Amino acid sequence: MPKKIQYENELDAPLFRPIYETGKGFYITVGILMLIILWALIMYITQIWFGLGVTGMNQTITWGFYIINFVFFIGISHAGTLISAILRLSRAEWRRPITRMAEVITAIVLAIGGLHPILDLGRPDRVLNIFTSGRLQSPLLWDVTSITAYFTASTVYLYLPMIPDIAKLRDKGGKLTWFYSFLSWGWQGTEHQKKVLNRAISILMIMVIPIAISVHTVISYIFSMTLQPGWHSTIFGPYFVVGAIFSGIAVLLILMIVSRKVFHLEDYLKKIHFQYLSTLLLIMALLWFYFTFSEFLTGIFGSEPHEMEIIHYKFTGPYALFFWGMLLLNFIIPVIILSIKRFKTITGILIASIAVVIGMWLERLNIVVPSLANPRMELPIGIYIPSLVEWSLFLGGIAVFILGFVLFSKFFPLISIWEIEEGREEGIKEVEERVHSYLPGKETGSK
Amino acid sequence: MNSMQNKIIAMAQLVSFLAMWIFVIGIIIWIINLISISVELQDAPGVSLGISLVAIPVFITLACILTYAYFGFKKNTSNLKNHSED
Repeated sequence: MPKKIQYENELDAPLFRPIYETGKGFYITVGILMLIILWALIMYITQIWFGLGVTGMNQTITWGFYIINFVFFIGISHAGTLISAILRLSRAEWRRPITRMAEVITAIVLAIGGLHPILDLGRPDRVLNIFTSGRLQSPLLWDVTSITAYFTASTVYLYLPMIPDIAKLRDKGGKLTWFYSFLSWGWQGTEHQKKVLNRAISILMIMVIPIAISVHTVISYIFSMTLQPGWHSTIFGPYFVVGAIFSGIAVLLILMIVSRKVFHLEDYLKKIHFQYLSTLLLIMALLWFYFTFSEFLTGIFGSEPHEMEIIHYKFTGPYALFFWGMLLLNFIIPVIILSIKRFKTITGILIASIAVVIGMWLERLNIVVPSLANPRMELPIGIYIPSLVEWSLFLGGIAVFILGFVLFSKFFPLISIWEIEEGREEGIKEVEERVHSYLPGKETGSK
Repeated sequence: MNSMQNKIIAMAQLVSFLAMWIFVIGIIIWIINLISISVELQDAPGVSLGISLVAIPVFITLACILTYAYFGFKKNTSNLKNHSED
């Protein structure tokens, strides 16, 4: 009989439990998700077989769900690395149980989002043309370059801080010792190794912030670099970045609440963490509204006929429900819930976060479709109704994301154990010294 | 784990580390190829150069950070082994 791995007596036993104990729920979840992914795969094969005719896209509206989801998923990726880097850089002590989850979201979602433009190709094999005859002058290729850079940076930024925890799993033994040994890079926890790790993380966290911001700015360029009404806007770069961070925080909050419940992490993810992050969500809701307002104000003030057609179409056309729904879900609901103390409970925060995720998806829809539906050439106004294939691939994308997260939690701790330990051992003293150093009078803290 | 397994793991780590550098060098070669295409076609080569001036250093820096961490950890592990043998 294989030796049972001992972890129950450890202080951070709840963080090891999901790795060493597998309940029925895990298999059921993985099974359901695999079925959804299989269905999506069948639908994708159908699309390759019959061509893009099986989608709702048409001669007028040539971008649909795939590009909407591409922008949406890449936006969510801002949850992780960017938020984690900012919190680390500002030495916010409450970051410790959050950063790992945030970084995982980024790595998984970027991989899913990055593949969406390939789904949009009727001939996916032609993606290989970018290697032989790509044009670096095209904003589409800027996307390829920046997403690859961000994905590489995020993966490194996820992996390096995981090494001490991987070494802990290696030292506990078990069937996967070889796997953890391979990934732990000979980590022994010596002072020299800690110094190397901290230095590497410090460089990465400074580097990752501009990369993350540039990625979503570059994604906005595929719209704003065109002369298309509704897209050609100078504020699209920061508008996309704000929207991305907004939806990213919402997804992070949802996953934190679910993980807390499923893995019994109440001792680690406390109410204070949700309070702080939800305040950030509230600020982003206000910022998002400011950018949306500015975007429409400049358009309406200019009253350029083609621009006005798009604005009228958004306000009163067939997609008006989605436009007003977007405002309700992205602004009214989160602001009401998050600014009234009585509603700002964990359930309230979950409702606000779900509203924001749906609202931000609607925002992407409102950007992509109405501009294409109103061609400036003598063509009828287009209408886009997504097909079963597109809905299936959308669901498949979400299923891959959840599956990735579930599998990650099976092999690695969702909360950084060594950072929690560091917080207990050094964090409290360090914060005390830091606070003293901020205050007037005799300096007692680090210089 | 026995010494043979340790050697296999160390070799696999080295291979994955080299694969990371091959990936980065591959991207740099690809970007240089795209610049040469734009120069050849006289198709806004300045823009291509501008983008590559940002992209190439990012990938090189990331690879250097991983190299620093890889050798930093290994150096200490080998020091520890030497001490334990003494």
